[in-house]
Amino acid sequence: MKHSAKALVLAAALACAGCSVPGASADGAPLTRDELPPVGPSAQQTMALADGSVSLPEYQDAFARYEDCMSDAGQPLANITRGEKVIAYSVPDEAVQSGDDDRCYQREFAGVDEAWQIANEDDSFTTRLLQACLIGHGITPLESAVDVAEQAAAAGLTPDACQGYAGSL
Amino acid sequence: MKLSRAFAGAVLLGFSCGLMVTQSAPAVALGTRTVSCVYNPPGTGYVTGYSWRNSDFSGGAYTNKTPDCTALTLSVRVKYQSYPGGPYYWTGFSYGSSSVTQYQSGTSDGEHGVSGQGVFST
Repeated sequence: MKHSAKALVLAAALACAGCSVPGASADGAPLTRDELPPVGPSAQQTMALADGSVSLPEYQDAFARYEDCMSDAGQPLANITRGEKVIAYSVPDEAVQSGDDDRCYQREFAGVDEAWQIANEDDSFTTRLLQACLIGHGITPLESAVDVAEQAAAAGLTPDACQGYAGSL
Repeated sequence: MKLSRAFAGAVLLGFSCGLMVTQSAPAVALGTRTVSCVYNPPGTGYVTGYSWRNSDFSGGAYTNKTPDCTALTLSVRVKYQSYPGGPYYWTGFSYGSSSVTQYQSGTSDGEHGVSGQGVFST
């Protein structure tokens, strides 16, 4: 392991005191991506990201490739719910532990998933939940995700305290 | 062996906090953690987050960044078990630029474990 990588792992462990850094060898020594074959984006994902934005069909196609990759690995995704904008799904823990999820996600979906969700965060579940929670506490919510998050924080409204509003969305 | 997504790219940092619980309890926050924006200059800000579990066996993970944190995006995912002895699953990642939450509803009267993993890109 490179010294810089070890330093990073140590820094991460110290920054998350009481927690564990994912990825450790049998002898307990942290591993780094450097010690595994690199996982780069597929040509299709690279193409989807090339113009700097992600369309809904590109998001859906990237998810389909991720789903196919997981199925091919014998670790099919579960509980898939295709929402209006975001697809919800579950990943078997075994696939996370084996690295299949990381490999498939990075290759086919990660960049597209992040870009799509960030581009639509003003209409995300989190934003809508906090807006409903603010209204429930007599506060008129703003529109952008950033503004709503700041309003909620200023009002001391945490996501778990607002969870009761999830059913109204 | 699952590695943190932190190491999938040069700019991703990942942390997984061991916040698994096995007992039923109403509206219990499982913990709060503060993670610095490691790749930023010291003192430039923090990302905070926590996971929780409620009496209805739902739960979630949450993280946000302080105004002076220069991380560009945040994400969380939740590990859960729908019933005692059942398999564990992870949700997909939920992304946000300043605050992000991922919920997972319970599915049966079994115990429901939840933990959080945050990934911060700068």
